[in-house]
Amino acid sequence: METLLPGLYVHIPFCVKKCNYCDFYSLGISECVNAFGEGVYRDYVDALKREIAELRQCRGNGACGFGGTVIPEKIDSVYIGGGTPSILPPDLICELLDELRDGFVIAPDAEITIECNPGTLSENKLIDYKKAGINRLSIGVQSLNDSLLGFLGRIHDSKKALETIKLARTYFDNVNLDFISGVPGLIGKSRPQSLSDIERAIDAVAENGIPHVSYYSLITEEGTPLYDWREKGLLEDMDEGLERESYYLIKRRLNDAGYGQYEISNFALPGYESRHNLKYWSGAEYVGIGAGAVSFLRHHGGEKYVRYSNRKSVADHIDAGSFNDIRTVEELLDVIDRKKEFMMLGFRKLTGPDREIYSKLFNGADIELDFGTELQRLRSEGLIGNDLSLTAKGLDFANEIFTAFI
Amino acid sequence: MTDRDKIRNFCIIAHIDHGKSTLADRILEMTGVLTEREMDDQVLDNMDLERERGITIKAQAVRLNYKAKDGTEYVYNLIDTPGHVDFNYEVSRTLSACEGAVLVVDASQGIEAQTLANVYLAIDHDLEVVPVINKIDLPAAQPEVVRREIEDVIGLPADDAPLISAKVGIGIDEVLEQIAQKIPAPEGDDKAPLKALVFDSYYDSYRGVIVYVRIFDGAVKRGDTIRFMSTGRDYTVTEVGWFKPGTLCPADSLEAGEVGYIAAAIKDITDATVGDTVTLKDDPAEEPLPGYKSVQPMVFCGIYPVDGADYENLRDALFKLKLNDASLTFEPETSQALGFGFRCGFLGLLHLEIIQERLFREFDLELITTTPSVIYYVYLTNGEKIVLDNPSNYPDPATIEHIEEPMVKATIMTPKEYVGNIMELCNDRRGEFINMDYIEETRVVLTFNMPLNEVIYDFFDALKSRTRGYASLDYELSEYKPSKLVKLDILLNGQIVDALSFIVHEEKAYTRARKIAEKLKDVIPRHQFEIPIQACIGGKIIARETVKAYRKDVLAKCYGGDITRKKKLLEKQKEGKKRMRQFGSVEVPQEAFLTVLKLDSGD
Repeated sequence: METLLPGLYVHIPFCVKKCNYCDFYSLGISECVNAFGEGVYRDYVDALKREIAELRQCRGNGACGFGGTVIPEKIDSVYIGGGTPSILPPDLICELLDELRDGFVIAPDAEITIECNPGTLSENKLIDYKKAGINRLSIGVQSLNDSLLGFLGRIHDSKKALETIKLARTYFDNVNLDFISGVPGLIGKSRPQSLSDIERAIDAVAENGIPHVSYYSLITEEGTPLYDWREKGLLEDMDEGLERESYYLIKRRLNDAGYGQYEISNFALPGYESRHNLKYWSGAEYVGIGAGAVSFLRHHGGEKYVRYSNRKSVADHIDAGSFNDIRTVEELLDVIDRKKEFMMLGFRKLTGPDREIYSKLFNGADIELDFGTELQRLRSEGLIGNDLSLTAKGLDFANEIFTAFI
Repeated sequence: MTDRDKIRNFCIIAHIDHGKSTLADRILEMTGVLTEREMDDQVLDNMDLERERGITIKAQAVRLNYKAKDGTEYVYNLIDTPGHVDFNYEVSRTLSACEGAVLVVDASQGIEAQTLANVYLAIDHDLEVVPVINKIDLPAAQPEVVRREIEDVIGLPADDAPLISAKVGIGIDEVLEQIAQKIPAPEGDDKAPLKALVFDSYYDSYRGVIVYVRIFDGAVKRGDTIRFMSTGRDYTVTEVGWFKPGTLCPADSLEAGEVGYIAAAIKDITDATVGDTVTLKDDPAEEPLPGYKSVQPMVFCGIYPVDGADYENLRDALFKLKLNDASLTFEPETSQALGFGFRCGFLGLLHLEIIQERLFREFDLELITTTPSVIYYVYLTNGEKIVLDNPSNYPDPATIEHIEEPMVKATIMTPKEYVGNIMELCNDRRGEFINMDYIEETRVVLTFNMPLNEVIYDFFDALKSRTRGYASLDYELSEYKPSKLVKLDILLNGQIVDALSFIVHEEKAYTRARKIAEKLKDVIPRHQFEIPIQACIGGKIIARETVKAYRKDVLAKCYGGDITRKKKLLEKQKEGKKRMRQFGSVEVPQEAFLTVLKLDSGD
């Protein structure tokens, strides 16, 4: 296997309303319009276009990118995430993609994904996305139980979700649905998630021939309403046993329906694995565009890599003169750091880190030689198999594997 | 040289929080050694730890110049004393170096147990006591009531005791005047052979040991060969001088009556023990100075490095701390569970905590401390007597004839409404009520005979919480008494963790075992398997808890945007693990060892 081509990530930090569990950088619509006025979407997309143009010019001049990085040219995946990108008028998405095609050489068969939610999608938008060249939708359904949707703070109900799923499938073959498991209850208001809620979700996936599913076990992140509720003791936590049963049920039901699990929380029909997301777990480079977006790029010196982030500020993005002014280096990784990170992220995949890619990325190095001790221990603990794949136990205790490479 | 008549050597004594260090700061400010701008609050409390806890741990000295109202210029040597009951010995060393003591009493709190203890100590050392009533700016201040209390309870005339507020700076000039008027000048003979009392010391990496001395007779200067009388070791003096706040100020010589330091390139810190008398090799004094008790540690525990590779560093650190702290003792010991470490002796639990924190902060050492123990006398059926300070050495119960434990006489001073609570607490801690005296209408002094091993755990904290902080405590060792004691072992996953074993009274074993098991259940993290926690006496299990197995440990999500953050999260998780100790297959965090110490049986 060749090393993977770089991917492009564009962050759209706008939502109708922030969900109760979400800690991504994103602004609710009303706060946003209050702060920036009605033209904010236009202004923001213009800023993104300037950012893309700046990268192109920089590369054209033979100069380095931020932190001494080499700005890549050939790209074979684009991921427009958020936030809720589908909140933008589709013509802005179209402009954005045009600018990207101007700034980068995007492969004809590139995977181009946009995240959307059932509350903001319409038939017209789907048609426009298609025209703009988008070929994959990722829809944040999260649950098909209205009480859970309410708890999570979603703006849609299950009926709307099912309609959207059907509509999406009429225009797009490659669709992902995001779901959440392990949802606790809010004492006196809603019950923790039941197994039947999961059954229902998977039925909908299978019935509609959805080729890709992400099923995340809910994480309580600091700074979210969910976190505050937990601190205040308002939550009825899901029993850990039931949480794992939910996870096993998801795996079993999806496997039975022909979906292969390829990452801890990701499932796909054969050939529908997300090309873009696999890059994160396989040591590939990515360029992040937009407020809060993160880039991971080769340093011009060759061996080192740089991970840098754009400031989480729509205002600064719109006002930025040079975008380098709003960037910070998060990490500078030397070969050893990169190797460890390759392992840590590689073990998110069911097949584990890829030996061939490793060898290509690291000058012929061999995983088994570089990490013999660690791998032997993990094998003896039954967390990984001889072929570096994650075992069932490894899926439950993956942090044990990750920390071996920290 | 300084005119001896114009020297005043004094210390400040007070109950904790009565404003001793604040007064010291104000005196420094008023005598102009520090401008207000240079004042960092509580200059004399050098250690961060002292400032944070608001207590003085080590004696600190400073030399000041004071021009009295009549124009006479005086040299003041102010020596700050530790304030906690654990450090009575340090107080006594300091007192020996002084002729007088400024007694600070809080105008709202009045006399407390430590006020009394310190005053009696000062009077024992023949010091002139100058009472001062502090915090008169507080709304709850009752200076006249307190003035009467000082006269009635202590028996000191207090009609002209200055009413001050060290915080606001009221009345400090009057304190300074009274020091000159009331405290006698030191006596001594410059011509007699050198007799200098070592009242503190610390290790300076450039000059070697800096020895704090009070010169009683004779003089010492650079180039002299000095002799430490207890060891007979000789050193050539490289520097003598006085103390300025935060620095040392070299001087030509130190003479009788003066307080200062001697540096003599002393490398081996055990050669300059606190409490020793320094004399000159060529003209030695016949007898050392009297009055220094040898230090008796009362509480013992094992201290182990978390990382076994730190053993040497821990030893060096203990040596260095011992230089400043004659009351700390240590010797190597080995634990099955914890590897190589040291058995250390302390004055009390606070002293233990302070040493532990200093090892962590000043030497960057991560440590595990085992359950503290007192010294038990174990009499065997074969007539032998074992002095036992470590539960690991507890002999086969079948060979024990009887055991004796140390008792203390505990003096508790409290507003009368808390008497009931205190009775209950002391009763619960196997205390035997001796006496109750009213010092005034609303306040009483209670005395109890109590086993020391009940006092060292968290008695002081428990006392404070039951009296809303009003009660004060002082205690002294009284006698050894036969007692029904047993050794309690803790098993994790079926294995005895020797570091958690301790000796306890038979009647209390069950309750304590249950509490420890419950606490351990909270602090031991869940593993991939279930962990039984058992407490047992001689193989009989008397309490049991279970740490349930965890079912998952996995980050559900990790994409390009949050790889750095997730890595940090995992790093933290790994760090936490590293700080744990492996017992068989069970990882035990350090808190486990600490929480065992902090069992308030009043809960």
